[in-house]
Amino acid sequence: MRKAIRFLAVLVFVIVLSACQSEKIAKEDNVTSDEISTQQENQVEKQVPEQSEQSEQLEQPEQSTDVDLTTLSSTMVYSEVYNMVMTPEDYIGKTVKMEGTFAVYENEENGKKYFACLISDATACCSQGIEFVLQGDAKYPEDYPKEGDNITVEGIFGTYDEEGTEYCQLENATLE
Amino acid sequence: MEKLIEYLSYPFVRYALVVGVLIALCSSLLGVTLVLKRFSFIGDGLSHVAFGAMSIAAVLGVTNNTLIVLPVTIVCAILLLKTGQNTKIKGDAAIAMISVGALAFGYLLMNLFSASSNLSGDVCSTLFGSTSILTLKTEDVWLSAVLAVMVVLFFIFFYHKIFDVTFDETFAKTVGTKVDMYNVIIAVIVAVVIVLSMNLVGSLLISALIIFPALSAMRLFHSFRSVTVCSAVLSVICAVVGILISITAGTPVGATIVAVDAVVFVVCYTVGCITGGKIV
Repeated sequence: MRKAIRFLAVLVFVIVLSACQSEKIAKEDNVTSDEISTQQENQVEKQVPEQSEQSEQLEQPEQSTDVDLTTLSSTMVYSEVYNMVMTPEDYIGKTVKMEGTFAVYENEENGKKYFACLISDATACCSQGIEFVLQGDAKYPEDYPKEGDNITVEGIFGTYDEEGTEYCQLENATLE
Repeated sequence: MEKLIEYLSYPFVRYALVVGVLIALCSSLLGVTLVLKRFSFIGDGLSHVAFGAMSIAAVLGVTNNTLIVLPVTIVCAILLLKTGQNTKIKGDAAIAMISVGALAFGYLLMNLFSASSNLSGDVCSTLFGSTSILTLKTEDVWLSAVLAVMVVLFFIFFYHKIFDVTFDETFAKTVGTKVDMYNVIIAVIVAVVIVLSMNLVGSLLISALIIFPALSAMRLFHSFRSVTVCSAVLSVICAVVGILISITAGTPVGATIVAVDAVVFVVCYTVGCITGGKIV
């Protein structure tokens, strides 16, 4: 019995230690990417038009999908979208591709329309969505699908402030 | 398999596995004691109490609802486990009364005062776990880890006392064991495990996490220590398998874990019937 108890104790400590390590790695990853993006922004701000060589070095690589939610299972998609909404700072500037249901919301006070891609969780009782803004001068309803249609949208993740509340949205979005 | 490896690269999946293993370990250790003390259903009752307390926290706008949920659940656990046998309302009736009462008041409060725009979603998520385990914050992981380690350490250091209190309280009192104190400590730990487990499987499925591993182990083994160790191993395996199936197949996490627990119970029951339950 003592051996079994010792084994359990060791198992628990190993698990706790690995949890701490994972968190540390995750944090380091975030810090590194944040630092890189901050450095890049600072460098871009300091650019002088004549310094063409430097500007070439600072050019971003071709846009590719950073977060492709279309390849994940529904449970994973819901969890990832939850994380995107709860910790948007980790996703700002990343290209996100997602599949879900098209929804339209209207601000009754000013008549402004908001377009979103909704996804449901595995129990189908909760749904979350991310607002998107199509690139160009897209007009509703001509350039948009019907409400409730299944859509795949891709855009650059960003946030904006409206009446003191921070909202997430996919900017320069395209529909497939 | 590639998909699974890709999913494991997500921090929240790793957090879920770590917390899932710890919760499964704690709940299975206590499960054996609770089943033997005929308190199998206390997990259900206390989880409903936790739901009620969570509703109060939501209505009051408390950010860290554990500050309210944990104390309330601990108080109810002590009342049920310590005085349940000596009051006019006996153990099972007291559990049932508190269970449905807390559930009803919790839902009523959320309906009347909740500021959330997705009430049904909030309730559903709390009751069935939904994807809670996959949406843990770093501080939730730390809290779960610390509490889980405390529970396991208590079980290790007080194994013999728990054994005494579980099987024969009268004998334990006779030999000088402070039975009342240990019952209170067990009640507190049960409450802690219940509050932790709500993240994993939700309020309605917590009982399964406590009962199934213990019952499965009892089909195969007969000594307290063998049943406890087997229960812990089965519970951890079921939690890991359940979470992995859930994220790859896109099924609800809590329900999948409980389904795996149920399948393992059927397997153990069959093996027990074939071997006569005399592996050890």
